[in-house]
Amino acid sequence: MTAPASAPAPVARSSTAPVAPAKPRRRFLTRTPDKLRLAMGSVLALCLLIGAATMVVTLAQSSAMSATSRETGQIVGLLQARGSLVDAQATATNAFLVGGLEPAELRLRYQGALAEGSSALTTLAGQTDDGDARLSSASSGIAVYSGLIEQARANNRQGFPVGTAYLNQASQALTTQVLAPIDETVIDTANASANDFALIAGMPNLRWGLIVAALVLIGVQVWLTRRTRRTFNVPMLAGTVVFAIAALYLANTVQNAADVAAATRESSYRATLATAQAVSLVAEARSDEAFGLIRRGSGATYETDFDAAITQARADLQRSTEADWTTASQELPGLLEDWVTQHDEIRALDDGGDWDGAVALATSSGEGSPAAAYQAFVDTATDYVAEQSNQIQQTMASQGSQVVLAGWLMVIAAIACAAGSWFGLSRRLEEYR
Amino acid sequence: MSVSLSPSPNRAGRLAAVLGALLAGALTLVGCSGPDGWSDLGREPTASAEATAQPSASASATAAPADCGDPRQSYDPLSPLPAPDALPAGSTMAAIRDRGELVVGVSADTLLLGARNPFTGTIEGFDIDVLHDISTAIFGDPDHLRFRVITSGQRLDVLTSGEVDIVARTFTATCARWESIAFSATYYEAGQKVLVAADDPATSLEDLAGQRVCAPAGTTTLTRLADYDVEAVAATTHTECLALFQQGEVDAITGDDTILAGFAAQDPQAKVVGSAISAEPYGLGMQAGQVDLVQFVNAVLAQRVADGRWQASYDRWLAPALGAATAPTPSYGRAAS
Repeated sequence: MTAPASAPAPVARSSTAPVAPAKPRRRFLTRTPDKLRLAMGSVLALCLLIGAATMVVTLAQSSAMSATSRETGQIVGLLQARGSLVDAQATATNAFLVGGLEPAELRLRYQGALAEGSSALTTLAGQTDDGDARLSSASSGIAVYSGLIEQARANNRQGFPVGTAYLNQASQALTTQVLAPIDETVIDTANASANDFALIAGMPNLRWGLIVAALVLIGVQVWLTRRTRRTFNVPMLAGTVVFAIAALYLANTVQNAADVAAATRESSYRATLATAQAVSLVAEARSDEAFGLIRRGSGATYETDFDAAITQARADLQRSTEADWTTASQELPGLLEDWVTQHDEIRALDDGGDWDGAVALATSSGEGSPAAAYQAFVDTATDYVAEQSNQIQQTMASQGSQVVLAGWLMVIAAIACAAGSWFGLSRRLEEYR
Repeated sequence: MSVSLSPSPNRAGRLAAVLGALLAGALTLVGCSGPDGWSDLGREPTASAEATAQPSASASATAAPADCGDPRQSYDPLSPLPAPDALPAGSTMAAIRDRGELVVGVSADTLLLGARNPFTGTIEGFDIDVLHDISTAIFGDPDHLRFRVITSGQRLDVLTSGEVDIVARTFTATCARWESIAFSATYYEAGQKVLVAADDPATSLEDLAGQRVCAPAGTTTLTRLADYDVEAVAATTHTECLALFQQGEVDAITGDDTILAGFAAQDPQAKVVGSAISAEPYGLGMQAGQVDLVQFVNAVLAQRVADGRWQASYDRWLAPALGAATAPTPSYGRAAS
């Protein structure tokens, strides 16, 4: 398209219009009052910024410490729930070995372990951030599992061998629908906890901000001394001193909290996780033992699984001991070996052709029985894990509180510094009016 | 930025840098790296591949037909049958007697043939009775048996590896199996049938076109399903097929009539239909090189037919489900290779 030819041409502006003489522009920051105003504004902004940043950092550190505390409880809870469910599985399988009329004692133990694992999962599902869906799915899996176990029992009580097939299906359902989502949630929670520990470890970097702020405050006062020929601006100096003391206390507290968190992670946290895993593995090994007996002389695959679980459990206990040699976890390896020795006797009976003797030993109870040895290990380990878990949570909560307190003191000090600086600089400014 | 208007941009820039550093120092700490959750747990990251044991129809232990003549034909029975205290020196039977037990591979979940009685804990059935009689012939006592519970798929392996002396587990004599092990004379003639829901109109495998039919892996019954227009589903054992059937995962089960009779006894909502589509001559499996044991066992089998023990056992376990029957006629004369 083209513009119409009749369109009027734009009128050129007259270049002869009178131009007002340019006002000489006052240069910024050439006068001392301007510089004082800038210094005052900067110092006030700096103090307020430090106060805000301190609150962000200390609350973040406290929050991360609370998170690791909560996550430790969740991991331990998940592993204990896992152990209970696998224990229920082992007990249900042992009940099959005894026969159709399963002993009431085994039935009660199965129900107790299942209820314990199930309710723990339900509680944990409400606590975890990301694991809700998975743990809910695991809870549904428990319903499937217990349904299959009941089918197995009902058939077994009628003397129908199909009960064994349902028992196998129940075992598979437990592994794929319950234990797998629990394991995934444990890993994710441990990774989240690792991130929180890393966050806590980075918090002492706050000190660099505090040092820079202190240098700025000192720099302003040095400039002020040169400019005003007065050695000290007392209100500002007082504010700076308060600031420095609070900053030292804060930096020390944050560093101490980070050190305590790192030490806790290296020692009791890892020892607790390792022990809780060992308990879960030993429960799995017990289930393998029961399934090996059901296969009556053909349980080599289960025995291989048993050996693998026990080897890993031993390694976990070793890690636990290395991580935290000051606590009572030293006795756990011995208790584990006591039970493994009893298991070896069971296997020797079965492998030697005395299946009845093996079953009788495996399902016996009372002092000196394999069940008692297993329970002694589980009870001791569970007590240790609970005690350590509580201690970790208390330590983290205590350190978190101290950090928040130091943070608030820093905020008050920053406000005091701002007020002192404002007052001191205002008086210098008034001298120019 | 407003500070660009400042006549002293360097100072203002430094101030901005100081303030920025404060926040940066405080807030960019999340990226700190360190040990992860796997490390805290003392584990190596692994791919979360859970092998779910879904049944599939891939397993089959029986190979292409081999020519062995009549698979029913076994070695001549030892005659006369020696007494337990007069077993031939150096024979396999003498070695077993010296050992003190006969190691046998059996099923513990095949009702009527070899199943663990949940009330007594003992394994019992038609197959087990045969083993007790062989124990009596070797030891003078029926209970010198050491049971090894095995699946159908393990039957050949436990013999070729020498782990057991005899397998008595609904074991059909076939030429393919004769290549690696030896069979006794036939002690029961079963036939492959099909089990369906009580209200299913199907009367044969032909009526189950496109439907899911279960059979245990490593059996002749699973192999034979390839000849029919059905979706073959393999399970570890026959009994797992029954569990899948009761859960609606499969529409039918095919197997020997003896095994299906045991299933029907466990599930009133199931029925065995049609006529046998195959002949399944059951033999006791033994190691290929132990011809003397096979001959000894054949003599025991002949004796238990002659003195009525076979009939008593059949009448106890199978007759209520399969009706009256008599012992099959044994075939001998196989030359030791």
